[in-house]
Amino acid sequence: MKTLSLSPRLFAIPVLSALVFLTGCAGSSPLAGTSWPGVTVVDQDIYLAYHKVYAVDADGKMKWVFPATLANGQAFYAPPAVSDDLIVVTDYVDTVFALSRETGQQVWLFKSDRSRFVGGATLGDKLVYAATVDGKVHALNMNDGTQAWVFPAAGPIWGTPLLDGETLYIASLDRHIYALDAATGQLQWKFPEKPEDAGDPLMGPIVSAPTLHDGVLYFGSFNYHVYALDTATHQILWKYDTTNWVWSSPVYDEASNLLIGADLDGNVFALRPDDRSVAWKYDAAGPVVGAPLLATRDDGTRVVYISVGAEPNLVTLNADDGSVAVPPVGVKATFPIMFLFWENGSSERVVPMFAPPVAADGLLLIGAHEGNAQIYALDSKTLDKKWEFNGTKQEEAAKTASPEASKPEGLFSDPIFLYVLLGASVLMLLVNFLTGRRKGGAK
Amino acid sequence: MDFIWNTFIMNPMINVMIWLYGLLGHSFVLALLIFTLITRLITWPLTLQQQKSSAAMTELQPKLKEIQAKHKNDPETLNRKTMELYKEGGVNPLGGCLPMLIQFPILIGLYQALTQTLAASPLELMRLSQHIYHPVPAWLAWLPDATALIPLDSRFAWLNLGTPDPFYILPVVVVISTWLQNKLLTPPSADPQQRAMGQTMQLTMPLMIGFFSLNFPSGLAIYWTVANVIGIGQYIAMGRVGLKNLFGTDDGSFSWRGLIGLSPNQPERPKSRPRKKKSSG
Repeated sequence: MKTLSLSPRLFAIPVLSALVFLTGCAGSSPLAGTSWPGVTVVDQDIYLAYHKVYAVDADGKMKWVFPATLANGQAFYAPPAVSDDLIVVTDYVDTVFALSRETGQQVWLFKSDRSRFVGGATLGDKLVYAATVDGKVHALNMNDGTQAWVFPAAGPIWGTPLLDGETLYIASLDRHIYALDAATGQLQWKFPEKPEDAGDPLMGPIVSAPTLHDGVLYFGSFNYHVYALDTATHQILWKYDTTNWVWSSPVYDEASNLLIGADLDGNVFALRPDDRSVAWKYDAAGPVVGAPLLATRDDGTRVVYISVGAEPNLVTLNADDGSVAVPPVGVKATFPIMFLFWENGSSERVVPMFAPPVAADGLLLIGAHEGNAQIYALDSKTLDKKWEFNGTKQEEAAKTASPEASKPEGLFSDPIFLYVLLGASVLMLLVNFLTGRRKGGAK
Repeated sequence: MDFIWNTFIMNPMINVMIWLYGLLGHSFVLALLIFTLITRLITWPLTLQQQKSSAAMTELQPKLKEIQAKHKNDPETLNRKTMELYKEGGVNPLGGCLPMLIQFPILIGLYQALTQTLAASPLELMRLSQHIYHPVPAWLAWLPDATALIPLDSRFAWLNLGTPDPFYILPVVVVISTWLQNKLLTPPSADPQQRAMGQTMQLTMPLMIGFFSLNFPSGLAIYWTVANVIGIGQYIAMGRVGLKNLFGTDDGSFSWRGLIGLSPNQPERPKSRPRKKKSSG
């Protein structure tokens, strides 16, 4: 009687499949699942930080890229800070770079004590401010990158410092707002001084920079609240309940005198700053990570653009009453379809958008961390896609080294394939066990 | 699928780990140890069943040797008789492998839960918000507030538990502990085919897991090592650990060959052909 012949070495296949499955679930690149792009627009120039730093013109064409080759583990995510002649970017390892705005050439660099930068840099008149995950706020001399002073907070800082004249405000995951002398780094005050100063509940981690208006700091916390903090008295004026963490910085609209924010459940709210009363609410039905963007349309109406981590991923509301100004759209990202490592097509799907929308001369720019392109440029009125920027392809076209590629969709990356492979491997294992091994011909 | 996976695997794992962290003095390693103990206790019935199968396998060894001697020239009959014997004895020759395979969904869930709980990156921290129970039911109100504990302190000794071990010490420990547990659990087989299967698994699995732990968060490597150690402890408690499994010898005596999965006995050297004498003339 014939039996199936399966080598015991095929045990390696289910083992390998299972472990490929395991790592497949986690992403194929060490940088996969890290962060979203940072985009800054100054005049007509667009600057993108996503793995590398790119300068892009208003038509979506790359002007320069930095660096030519990434060092091991190096990546850039935080929005670049831009001055007249310098771009200052923080990398995800431990370095602040100052680049020529015109050419992208490195002017100087500063290395922290092997501590990562998550947030971006803030530019003062003569100093550059950036903070690390070990809680240190570094002030660097703008002309050469040497350190002017350093302030140690009690815990990680992921946000970008907020500079207001002579005071530097820092929001920290250690549940404090710090106010520092911008010139010397001396602590002026911190809130809460004692945990109970924040009331009930205790202050939670604060990840994004606060918003300052008329001497009041507005910020969201992971303790499901938005706060208004008086910078003169260091007292909480009010707090507003949310249903999930508040990641994004709220924005203040002068025209309507409203503070607009959102939480990670997608609850968008507009509050009257004087008394915290709710002017309007909107349910975006997905996490809102990036700060809302206020803009004035041609007809003078104020709208607020909100990127959402779900479908539809772009919402446009009238700022004064929260009504829908433009029907929500699902901005689609393009993915290459691969078969056995050959690209043989492309597919589109709506992807989560966590980067805040940025305005650029009739355009709305949104950074995407999934798909081929890193920036999608939409018409700010119709939200039609005008162009998309794929840094990798433009780099290849410009014949500079670029090992980066977005994760392809296809046979070897679709999780369903991995399930099938694992299932088939386990089946082979069982067949081998049940039927034994045949040696020679059947008798 | 995401809903099911998150509801039944990810969310419970993440919240339990955070609660343990809060209850155990903000030590993530302690929380990981206790969590490992809990998962081993949950899989204990399966482990027990596999142990019984392994013990039965050991008892069948003399009969297996008989069958092997009797049918060594008839592989098909040998296979059939072997399978019949396994069936009669209620034995699963994959006794050492199945607990490991069953742990894979737990391992996959734990990997994802670990990376998201430690939240070393913005995307991970943001996604963590989607897994935290809030508000918690009244009967769980005595547990620590998960949000109040975030971000967790991921440091332990030289390690950042959310990133791989920079000195590659843990992957080596993972390989050794995985191999040792597998070796102790899987009784040596008199059947060459089964021995070959066991040898492959005993070498391939630890090496593969050790290789991948080079890139995994060190917290996961710690979990895997602790799970192996607890597993060995369970087997000792059950009286199932013996040097016979380790060295493959009947009396438990030391044998290098048995240690690496070969038959402890030296194979017979093939007899050399007698040389033909050249005829003269």
